[in-house]
Amino acid sequence: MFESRLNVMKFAIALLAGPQDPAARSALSFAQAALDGGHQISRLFFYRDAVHLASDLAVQPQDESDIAREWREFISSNELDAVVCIAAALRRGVLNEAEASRWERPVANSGQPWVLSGLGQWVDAMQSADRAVTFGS
Amino acid sequence: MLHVLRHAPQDSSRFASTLRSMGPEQGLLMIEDGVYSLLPDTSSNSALQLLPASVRLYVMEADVSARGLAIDDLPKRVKLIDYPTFVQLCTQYDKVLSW
Amino acid sequence: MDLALAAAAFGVPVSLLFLDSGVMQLLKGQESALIKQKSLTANLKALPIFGVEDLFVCQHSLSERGLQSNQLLLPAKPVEGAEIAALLEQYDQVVTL
Repeated sequence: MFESRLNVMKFAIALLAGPQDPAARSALSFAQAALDGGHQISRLFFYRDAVHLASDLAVQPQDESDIAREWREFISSNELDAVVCIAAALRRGVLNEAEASRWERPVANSGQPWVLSGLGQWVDAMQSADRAVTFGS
Repeated sequence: MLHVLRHAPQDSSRFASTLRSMGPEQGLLMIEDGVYSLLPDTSSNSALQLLPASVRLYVMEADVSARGLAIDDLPKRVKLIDYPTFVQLCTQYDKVLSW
Repeated sequence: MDLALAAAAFGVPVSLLFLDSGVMQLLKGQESALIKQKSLTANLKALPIFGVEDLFVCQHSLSERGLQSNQLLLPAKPVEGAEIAALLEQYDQVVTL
C-alpha cells in the first residue's frame, strides 16, 4: 500500500510558452498531478513567453479560464519556488517593485509568489531534481 | 528515456526529428498538437505503427478528445493516459525529453 | 544558447546539438545587423571559451538544407540517426529550445 512512497521524486518543471498556449495548461495539470501523486516540485521555472503568467495586469474574458490566476493560486497554496527568468521578464514588461524602480518604470506588475531571477536557477533546478520536465518548447 | 512531442507533424519537423532520434527501448508520449500524429490515414500514423514493438507509445487522452479525434480510430498499440500516469511514466523512464 | 552559456558559467558540462532549422544558426556570413537583429555569431564563437566544446550537428538536417560542414562557422561533428539516439542517452538532462 505504501510502495509508492519509495518512489517519491523531486521534479523541476519549466514552462516556455505563454498563457495562450495549451502548454501553460498542460504544465499546470502535470504539476498538480505530481503533487497529488505524493512527489515534490523543487522548482518551477518560467522562461520566454511564460513570463507573462507572472503579470498581475492581464484581464481574461469572463467566459474563459484565467490560467495566470490558477498558476498563482497553485504556487501560493503549495508554497512552491516559482522563478521567472528576469531577462525574459524585463524584455516583455513583467517587472516587480525592485525592477520597476531600478529601470524607472511607472508601474510594477508582478510580485508574490513570483521570484525574478536568472537562468542559472533553471540550470541549478535541473541538476538537483530527480526529473526535469519542460513544457512549451 | 521518454520523448514528449507536442507539435503536429503537419506543422513542424519535430515529429520527424523525434522519430529519427529515438532508441529502441524508449517511450513516446504525444500531447497537445502532437496528438495529430495519430490522425487516421496519415504518413505520421503509419510511421508510428512501423516503430519497433519495443518502443512504447502513449497519448494524452484529454488532448485527443479535445481535438475531436476518435479514440476508436487510434492504433491498438497506443496507450491512452492521463496526467497522473504521465507523472508515473516520468518516474519510470530515466529522463524526459520534450520536443 | 543563453541556457548553454548559463550552464557553462555554473561549471556544468554542456554540449550542443544543432537540429532542424537550428543548423542555420551555424551558417557563415550572416549579416543580421541588416534587419536590426543581434548576431549570434559572437556568442557561438564564445562557446569554446566558456568550455562548451562538444558541438554536434545533425547530418540529415544539413543535407535537407543543401548544406555542407565546410559552410559552418564552427567545427561541429556531424551525427545521424542512431548516433543521435546514443548521444541523447549520454547526458543527465536534455533540453530542446
